Amino acid sequence: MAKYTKPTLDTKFHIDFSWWQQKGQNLRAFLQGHLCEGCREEAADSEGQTFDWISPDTGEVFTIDSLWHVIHKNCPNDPEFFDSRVPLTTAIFRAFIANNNAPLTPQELFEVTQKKSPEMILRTIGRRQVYKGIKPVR
Amino acid sequence: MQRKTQTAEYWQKQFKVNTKDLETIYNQILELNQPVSLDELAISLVKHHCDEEELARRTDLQAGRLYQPKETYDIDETIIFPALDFATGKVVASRQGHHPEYGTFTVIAVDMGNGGPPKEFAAGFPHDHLLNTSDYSLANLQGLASPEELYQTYKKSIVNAVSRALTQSDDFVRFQDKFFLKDALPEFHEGLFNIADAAIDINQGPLAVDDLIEQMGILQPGETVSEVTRFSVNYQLANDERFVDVGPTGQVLWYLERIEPPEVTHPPRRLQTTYANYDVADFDDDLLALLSDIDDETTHPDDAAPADPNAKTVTIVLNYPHWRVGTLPITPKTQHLFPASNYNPVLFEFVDGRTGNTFPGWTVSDFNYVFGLDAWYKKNKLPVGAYITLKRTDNPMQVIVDYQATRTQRDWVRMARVTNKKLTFQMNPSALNCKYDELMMISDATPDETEKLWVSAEERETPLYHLICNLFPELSKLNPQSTVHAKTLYSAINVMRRVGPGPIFQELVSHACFIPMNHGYWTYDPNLKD
Repeated sequence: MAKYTKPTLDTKFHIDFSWWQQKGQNLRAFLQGHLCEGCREEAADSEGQTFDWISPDTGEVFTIDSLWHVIHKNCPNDPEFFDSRVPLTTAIFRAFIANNNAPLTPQELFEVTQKKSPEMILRTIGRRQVYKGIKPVR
Repeated sequence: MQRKTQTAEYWQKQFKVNTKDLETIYNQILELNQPVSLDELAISLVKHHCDEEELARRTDLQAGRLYQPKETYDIDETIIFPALDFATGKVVASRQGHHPEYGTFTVIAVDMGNGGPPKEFAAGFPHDHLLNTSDYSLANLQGLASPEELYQTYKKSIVNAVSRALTQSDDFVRFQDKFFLKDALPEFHEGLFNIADAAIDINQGPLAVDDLIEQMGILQPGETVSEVTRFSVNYQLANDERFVDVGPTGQVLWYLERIEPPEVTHPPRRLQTTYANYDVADFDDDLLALLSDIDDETTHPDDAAPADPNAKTVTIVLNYPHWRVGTLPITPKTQHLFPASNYNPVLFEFVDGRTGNTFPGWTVSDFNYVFGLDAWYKKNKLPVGAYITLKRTDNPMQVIVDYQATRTQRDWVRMARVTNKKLTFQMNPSALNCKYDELMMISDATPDETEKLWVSAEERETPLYHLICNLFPELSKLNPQSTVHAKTLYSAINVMRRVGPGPIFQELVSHACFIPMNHGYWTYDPNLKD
């Protein structure tokens, strides 16, 4: 098991897609909850399709559900995507979708989501228990 | 190209202490012929590894090509990955990849040599990508961090690895943070340690190792205590179950295990909690403020009241479990006041702020409490909720403990009472002689019965949610608005179970039957119970 290093406000986080694979969790089912109204038809067309997502900073490839691409391209433009009623954990996940999962620090996540504070975001995602694959970048 | 000894990946994940390293350490101690600290040994080892890489640098540079997504790679080719702390891997397979925007490209599977499954990377990918435009010249070989700087940056991982390897080896012996060679330890007659036992007994208190060495008659006339003798006696005492070190960091004080209170090594059941999980992201501002306001050692340090290492006086509120077993919590707020050690509980003196009398106190850092206040609580008739003041003195081994005295007056207080095996609360008049937090104040009319109820609730592992649902009506009936403050709920729950405020607040925000009002007050609607 990797050693745990306590993250700081300068630690970059991302969604580790291998976490989803290892945990056997259904990324598509989770992503459905992030779809905006305008994309439901396109999302239905993507059923059963995958694509090779390329990490913007390492070049690593993960084969993931095409719904990620549909949401990434369209939904961040929806004013409700980062609505004030969206819970913090959901907003953090959406920030990574909007950023195509490029690594972000708690400070940068705060700038994208405008929720709570960078410290609160760090406390939320910087724990040993991983939330929806959001982990510090190695 | 960056050297691997300059990376976090190397020191935090790859660094292992091998047989050759152990030989290096053995020779270092042998040459010095005295105990050497873990810090010194670890820095020497870091320097040794950096020197070795210096020699191997040219070979490393020829190991393989630097990875760039735009390039193509052959099967069996070795690639260096700059964005993965310069890890290297070998291409073991390739396939066609597809991206909705970029179309097709090549995906190579790379064995990273770490025993895990191959990782996949993009290749033949000419589009915009950070790694396609970066300059990987060798210029970044400049400005290398020194071994000392590397050690400071990755100290935790390095120290853990060195400490583990030395502890597992039969060649080394350890006392606190120093190591020495097992074969170089002087031998002492067993009877000398019976003399040490008697010396501490007669002293009625702990003795420093130099005093014990003198009493044991180890030294020749005119001889001074050497580092090796001091280390060796400390090592032997530490491995003799009769003796315990009770000194603070930097000071070794030997005491007898048989006269050490059991609470110093075994936390009282009243302080042990099985509930730890909560998520501050779910809490509103009121609950966050209360989480920080309540002095509870089980609250995560990030969420507790911040430490002020310069504060000479700290006031905390006494909760039921600590009141019951004569302890106080060590939190970020109180930690700096008490002498502590990384290795053992520390014996110090409480000074009664009223009388100036002293009595023993124990810092139990492993479980975050100080022990020794039971008689003092009873003598001063302090209730749960009392404000306790702790003051630093010029002597780091003495801490003043006091309360905020008032003229004795009769106040209406929450009285806990066990009736028909159920914990109930009533407002009763009671004589009080100190200032207290009204929201936390609780008196216990039937402490023996409460104890039985507590043991029963613990053995039955009653879920926290059920405990709250059962207690809430008891507390809300005491208030005309039928509301209960979250702090009062915390205080009352802790009469029955040891639970920090975080898990209690988590239950409040997780169930519809608990309805938030303003300023930390809540109501309960049993019709909405899950």
